[in-house]
Amino acid sequence: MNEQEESAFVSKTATTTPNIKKARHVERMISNLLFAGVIVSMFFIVFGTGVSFFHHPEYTSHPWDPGQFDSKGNTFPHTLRDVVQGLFAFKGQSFIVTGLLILIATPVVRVFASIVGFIHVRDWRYVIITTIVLGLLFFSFLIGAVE
Amino acid sequence: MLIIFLISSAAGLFGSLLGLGGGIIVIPALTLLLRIDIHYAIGASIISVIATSSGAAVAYLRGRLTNLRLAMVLEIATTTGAITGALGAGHINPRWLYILFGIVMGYSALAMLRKRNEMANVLIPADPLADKLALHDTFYDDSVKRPTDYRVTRTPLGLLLMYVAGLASGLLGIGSGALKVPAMDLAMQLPIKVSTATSNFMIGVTAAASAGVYFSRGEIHPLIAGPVAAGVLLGAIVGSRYIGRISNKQLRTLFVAILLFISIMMFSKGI
Repeated sequence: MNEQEESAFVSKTATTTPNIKKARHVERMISNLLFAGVIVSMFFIVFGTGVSFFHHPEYTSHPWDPGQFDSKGNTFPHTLRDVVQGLFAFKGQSFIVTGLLILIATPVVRVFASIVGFIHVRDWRYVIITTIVLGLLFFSFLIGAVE
Repeated sequence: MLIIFLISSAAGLFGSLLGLGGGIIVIPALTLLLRIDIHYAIGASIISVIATSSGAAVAYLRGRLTNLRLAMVLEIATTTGAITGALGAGHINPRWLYILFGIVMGYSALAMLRKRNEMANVLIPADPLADKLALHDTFYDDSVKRPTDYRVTRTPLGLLLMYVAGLASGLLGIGSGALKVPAMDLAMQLPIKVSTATSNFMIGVTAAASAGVYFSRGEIHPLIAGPVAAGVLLGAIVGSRYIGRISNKQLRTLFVAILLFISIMMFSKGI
């Protein structure tokens, strides 16, 4: 759908109340925010991969030696501290992980943004529903973390 | 790494079209083809689910294919089911569950296939709950080049099925897109594109909650999950732009084929 079609579509469906128009605007913003998140995440991943290969040219020759990825040899960064330290040390894998963490955050940001959006259009019922969803997500995260 | 990237692109392409996470392609490719440790494969597949969801969301939100309200209402049921399932895992023999869900998916596939020649405007039963929650909506169908109105029905049944889908994913550690789409399609009578796009939204949110755990356990390996993420994102961005152009019937046929395949895999895991 191009811009023109889209605006025609929006005006056709959103003539009733200004609230719906506002809601469209919010959806537009969420979609832009997501796009930015996805692009930034991709940039970190691609850049990090490049840096990794630059530091370790041997990865290109036999990168998928299964022994290298044994679950015991955890040499890659997997705590926030490792990642931040790795970024300062200009380690490629830390850049990749940063990209992955941004990616993991995008759906959560999306739920947050929806709450803001529903507040914006004063749809209190959906503010409550979406907040419950967010609460359940944190709860399931906590359960998983305890296990 | 290039192989991972290419396979992941395909996974993202199909996953975004069908409302699935791509784990069905990513996990076997990584473990069987590239002999990567299963833990890293699962970690990468969680990333793949999120990448599919976020990569496709941009286009789906613009075309208004995702029903955000419906997704939120159903997400409550799915997450509750997933939490119940995670707590109950280990108490029930997964073999029977694999057989049970294999049969359920096989049946759904056939039911969805039967629906393929149905006209869009069949009589839809009234649903006071859907009215109350304002779930009915309009989306822009690019294949017919006009906005299409649709109504949501049997919300209580939909909620129950979403709870079961969440339960299955919590108990078996499988993605639940393959159960969510049939529930929306068969019970709630949604257009197939809305079903896959809304499922696509929901699986990303659920996966993000578990991704943090996998990350802290050290099961997300950057050199494996990285190319998976990049490939899937690319595939999903392309796929979600393309979905408008393919007809509902083609999409349905593709989904049924994949669903049958998954149901056979599940069933054979149980026996």
